[in-house]
Amino acid sequence: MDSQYLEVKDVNKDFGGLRAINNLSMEVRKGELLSIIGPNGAGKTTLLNLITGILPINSGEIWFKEQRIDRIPTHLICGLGIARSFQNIQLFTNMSVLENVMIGCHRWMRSTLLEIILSLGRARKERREAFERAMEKLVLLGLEKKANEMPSALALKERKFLGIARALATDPELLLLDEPVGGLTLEEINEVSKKILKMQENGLTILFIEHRMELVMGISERVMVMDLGQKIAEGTFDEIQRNEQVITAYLGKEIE
Amino acid sequence: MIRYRKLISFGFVGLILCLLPLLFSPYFISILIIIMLYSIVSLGLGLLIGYAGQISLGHNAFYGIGAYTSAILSFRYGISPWIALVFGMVLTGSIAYLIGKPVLKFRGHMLVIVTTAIGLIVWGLFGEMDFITGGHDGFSRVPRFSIGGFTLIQDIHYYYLVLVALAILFVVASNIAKSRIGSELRTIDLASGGSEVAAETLGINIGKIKTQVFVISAVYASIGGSLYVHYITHIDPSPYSLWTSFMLVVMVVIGGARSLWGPIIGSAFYIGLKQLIAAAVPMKQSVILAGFESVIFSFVFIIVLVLLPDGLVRLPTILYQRWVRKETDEFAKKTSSGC
Repeated sequence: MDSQYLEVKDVNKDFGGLRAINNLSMEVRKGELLSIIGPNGAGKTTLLNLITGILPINSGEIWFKEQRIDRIPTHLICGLGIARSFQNIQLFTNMSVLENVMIGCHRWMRSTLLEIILSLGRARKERREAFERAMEKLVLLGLEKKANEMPSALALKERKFLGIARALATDPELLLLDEPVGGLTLEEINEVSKKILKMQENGLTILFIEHRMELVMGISERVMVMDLGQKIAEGTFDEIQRNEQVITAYLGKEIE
Repeated sequence: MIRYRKLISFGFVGLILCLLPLLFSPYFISILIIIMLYSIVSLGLGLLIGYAGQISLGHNAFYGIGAYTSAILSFRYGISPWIALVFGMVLTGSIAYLIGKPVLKFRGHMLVIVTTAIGLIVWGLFGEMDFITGGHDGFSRVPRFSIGGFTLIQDIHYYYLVLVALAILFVVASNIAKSRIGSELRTIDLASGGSEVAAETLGINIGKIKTQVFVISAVYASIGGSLYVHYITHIDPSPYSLWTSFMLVVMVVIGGARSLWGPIIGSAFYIGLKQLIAAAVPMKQSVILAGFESVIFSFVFIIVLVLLPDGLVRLPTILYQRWVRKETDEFAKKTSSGC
């Protein structure tokens, strides 16, 4: 297994006086499904924002496939093969389901402004290809019948799926999922978990964020726990569950 | 099939516009020319405001730069107006690129303020750089366009020139709107449900796409300015004041910014209403009623925007929906009373 896949080294992130990420180091191995859990405010989403370059880091380094990525703008990080979904999904609500996913295919498009103005062959061909690729992703997530709906007409589960489909359309090798099951019923969670596991089987490396511990139980072989911007534990789910620090973070300490 | 039908309806609209001037007086033709000139400028601005959601109140600058470049090159240096027009496009595009890169980092009301400042600065320069612009008085005898030795002196000839220009620019705008760029623009329109962060994580270079649409809209304004100045054949700073920017934004919004027909409808509505009010108020009283005129004007706009927030372009759809609903309501009433 290649340990030099995604590496976060001694990263710090401050918001004003608040240290959101405190000297955090971690790695994601190629092909694995790593879960990061932690209570609200642990810095999980911030970590994803740092990896994808949405927020700049204060110190430290982030490496992906032997390339330093912590100074690279977000849209180029996507080009390296990292895609993500959002906790609040961030769909383009002014576009149809299909158009949302087609946007994910845009990074493959090469047609220039002149070709577009004249509506030349390549510009049209690319649209056609994007359409086919986007429909493929919708079929993968069972949304093909909703292709022409607006996102506001979808149920929460479908919207979460759409967020993932859109990320998949960029053809990533590393997929970062920010609470993909938050707010769903148990039945729906099972459905999402199955889809995520299938994506991993198909060769995708997945980093999965969740704040409820029991949800990652079934799907992840390796779990990392964060609290107050730090990594407090790492290991298999069983190991984590017995860890003193983790119990404290989640349940608090008994007053003696 | 859809393509076919579209072509027919386009041809139909084109035919009407071609025949229109034959039916009306020269005065009416001159108004149609002005409407089409503003349509060209607001069409570009519509891409910026309606698709990308970036509001600029500085487009009077680009409109003016196009007009002044055209006028100065053709009048002072005897360059053909056609070449002057192209020069204007290139110069305006370059200036818009240099301004747009830093300025488009601002969002929302900040962008409005910054672009307003640009509009003010450039307008001020038109008046102050009198060694080349002729200052506040400007200069006259700007040459007209000519095609193969045939100078377009009559309004009716100019009408067809502007019509062709508008048609070409409409097709270009529609190609852009339907393309990858059009979709990308909508991802950064925060007001209608875009998300810049999501767009970036999907690999879209937001800075680039914003600059691109800003330059495109500036070039549209420049073309409009050039066509205007070779028509009026006189130039001074007043048509390129900040007021013009306000007017253009009103045209775009009232017509419907999220449709390409919107800016054209808006231009026609604006100019048409202005002419109507002018005609309704007799010359003698117009001095007294000058303020009253803009009161009516603003009042109409408020009413339209309250009733049709998506612009006049939505009016047929809304009327149709209302008609359909009325039908179903009546049917429901009839059947329920029968039970």
